[in-house]
Amino acid sequence: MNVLNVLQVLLALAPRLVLAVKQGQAAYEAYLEAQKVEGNDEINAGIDALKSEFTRRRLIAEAESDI
Amino acid sequence: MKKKMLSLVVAVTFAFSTIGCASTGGVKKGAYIGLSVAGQASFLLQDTEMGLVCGRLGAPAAPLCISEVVHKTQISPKLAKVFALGERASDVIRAIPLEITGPTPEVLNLVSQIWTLITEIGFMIPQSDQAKKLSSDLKKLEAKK
Repeated sequence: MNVLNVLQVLLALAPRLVLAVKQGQAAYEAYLEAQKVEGNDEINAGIDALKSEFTRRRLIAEAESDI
Repeated sequence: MKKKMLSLVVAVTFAFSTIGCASTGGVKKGAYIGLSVAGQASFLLQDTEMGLVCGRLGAPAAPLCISEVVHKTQISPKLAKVFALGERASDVIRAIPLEITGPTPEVLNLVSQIWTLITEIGFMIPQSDQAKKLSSDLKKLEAKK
């Protein structure tokens, strides 16, 4: 299999492959970032920010839904 | 490429292992880390999926794009469920006292449900016929070994 074949295979697998790789990076970075949080107040602030983002995105997903 | 794929597995494994594990900085922090990781994966999934809907700016051509019907009737409702579970998990984690050392099965259950839905949605992202053929050819080769 030459380089062109490899590129064709990678393109064929996209976008699922690209998504999987990006998710790996995002998840790992989130893990490292969350590790830095210390103390109840800081954890609660992080949870509140996370919940706000979940809510914002749920509203977008509901607006995009056809049900 | 393998290294990056491995990072997802490692992050998810660590995230799950920290839920209910007091030795890594407390049960509450472990649960927060687990939800953060699942949250970032789901946020990226939504951003990517919305950019792949057929006809939208920057979306690939068929068969690599996601049809409007699949987007509206299958993926978006599942994503709405993912985020509702995230909101619920946030409330549960916030109510956990910092000093608690016991298990948090409700958080583990909610985060598990989020990952299950993320996986289901991931499989709805199109794969081209060429990739399917390649996969089929590889399976045939494996069967010959």
